[in-house]
Amino acid sequence: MSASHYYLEATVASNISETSRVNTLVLRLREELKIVPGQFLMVWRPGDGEIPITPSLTMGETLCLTIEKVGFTSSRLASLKPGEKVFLRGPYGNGFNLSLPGRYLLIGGGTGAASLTPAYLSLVKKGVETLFLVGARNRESLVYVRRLRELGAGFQVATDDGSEGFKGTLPEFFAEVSSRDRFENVLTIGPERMMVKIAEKCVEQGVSCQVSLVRIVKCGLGVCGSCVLDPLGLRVCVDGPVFHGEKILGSDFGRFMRDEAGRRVEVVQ
Amino acid sequence: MHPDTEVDVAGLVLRSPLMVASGVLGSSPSLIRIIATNPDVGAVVTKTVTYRPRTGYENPTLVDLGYGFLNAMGLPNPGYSEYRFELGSIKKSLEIPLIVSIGPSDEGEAEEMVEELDSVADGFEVNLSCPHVENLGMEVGSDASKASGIVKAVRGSTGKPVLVKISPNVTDFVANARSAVEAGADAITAINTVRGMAIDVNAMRPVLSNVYGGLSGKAIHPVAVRIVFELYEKIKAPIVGCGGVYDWRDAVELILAGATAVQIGSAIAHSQTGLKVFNEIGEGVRRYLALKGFSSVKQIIGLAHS
Repeated sequence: MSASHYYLEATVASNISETSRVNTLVLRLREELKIVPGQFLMVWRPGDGEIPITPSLTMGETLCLTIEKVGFTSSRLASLKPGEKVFLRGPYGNGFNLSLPGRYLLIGGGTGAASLTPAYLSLVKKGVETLFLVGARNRESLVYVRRLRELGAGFQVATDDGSEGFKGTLPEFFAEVSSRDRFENVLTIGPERMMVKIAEKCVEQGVSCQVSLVRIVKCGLGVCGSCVLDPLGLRVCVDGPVFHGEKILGSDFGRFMRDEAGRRVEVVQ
Repeated sequence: MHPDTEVDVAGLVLRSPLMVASGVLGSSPSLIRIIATNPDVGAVVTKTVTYRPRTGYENPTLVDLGYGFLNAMGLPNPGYSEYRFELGSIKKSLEIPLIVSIGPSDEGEAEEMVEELDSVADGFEVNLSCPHVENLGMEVGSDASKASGIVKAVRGSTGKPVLVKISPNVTDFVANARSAVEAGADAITAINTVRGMAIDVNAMRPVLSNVYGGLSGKAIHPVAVRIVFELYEKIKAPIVGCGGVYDWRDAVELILAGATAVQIGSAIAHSQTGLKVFNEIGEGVRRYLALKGFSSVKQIIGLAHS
């Protein structure tokens, strides 16, 4: 049986605007939170709702959440001011397997660049050779690159319109990079259709690929079925959110998800 | 010695007395298909479907208390029509009865829903006891004439077994069970969740967005045992016991109290082994029967009554 149901209290230390749609909250906790890169937290503001978020940095008592304003709850959370509080439960889910042998290529699209940062830092700390690709539609939509520079991270940028770095999508950049260099492991977070293309390419090349999925998570405990990946019956909140690409290609991955009422609807991105 | 675990609930022959309770995992057809391959699962009750799609409540909708769950999901579901389509895609591959849980708000809805769902259901469980949704569930269930009208409408629209799930949150649950049986219910499922709430001490606010919710899990097991025990003496219809079954003792206790079959819900989420909890409980029940010298689980139904 699990322990107390009480939430952890966190105070907003600062709120950094990444783009017009994305903000990063820097939170102070009372104690360190043990969390595996890729795991997620349920983040609650009474009256505003509760959503799953994969942290973009965990360092001692500091925790960063990079939030895209998608719906009501995310828009409220992304607009919090210093001194305001949020409440956390978790961590939930499996997280990335960072013990697989070989070199790692990390591919983060949009806010995925932020959510992959803890995995990147953890690999670098372990002395594993790692290349980080981040991408967005254009320079203005790039997320978290300032923080990555502050952290001294080595990363390469792709933009669809070429306004910064490689001109093209991340799957195109990935194809280009992997044509000259072989990485044994790929980790990716981003729009699902992008991840499908990357996972397909990995299968083709016999490269291990871990993808992180987003679904409507209600209970976070594997009970309610809101986040199920059909026809596999995998629950994103407890069996995921990280899956090996080859195991979920051909399923709802990149194609369907369930809406708030549990209706099967198309994945939009 | 291998004791026989087959039971008969109002004409539904179950290979195991253990059923998946409504509201857990039953929202996705692929999960139902996977659960149904477990030899210790006798039947699956789906999540409750309503006439129209419902998005349910805002998060938080579930609180893990360790000794149980407090939930106010708000009956999210895609509506009966879409759900029928989804169930149709897996029905043929199921080897065990599929019991469709329905939450109609009036007789007209009940008739339409049951007529359409009849092709994919082996039986129905009428949810007149969800404690946290306005105009549905318990609000309907505690209006005696309305509840009775709905059960009659369900009864009149199907020849398949009809179970009615009752609430513990009433003074006279026996009267509710009786009136359901008089209206045509073949069996009673007891119990639904117990009303409760939780306040987070850090946030100093109720956790559930709906404020009130329903408590399930270990904490409510003695409440379920007591209600099943009393119903067994007061009504003639078979009883399906539900509430806090986490191990074989809990299951046997409900059967000794008078349950013909037992539903399992919260334990699936609390168990370290997930769906294997059915095998652990099934194996425990078989060992118990063998040890006590019974050849069939049917022989111990209601044995706690002198």
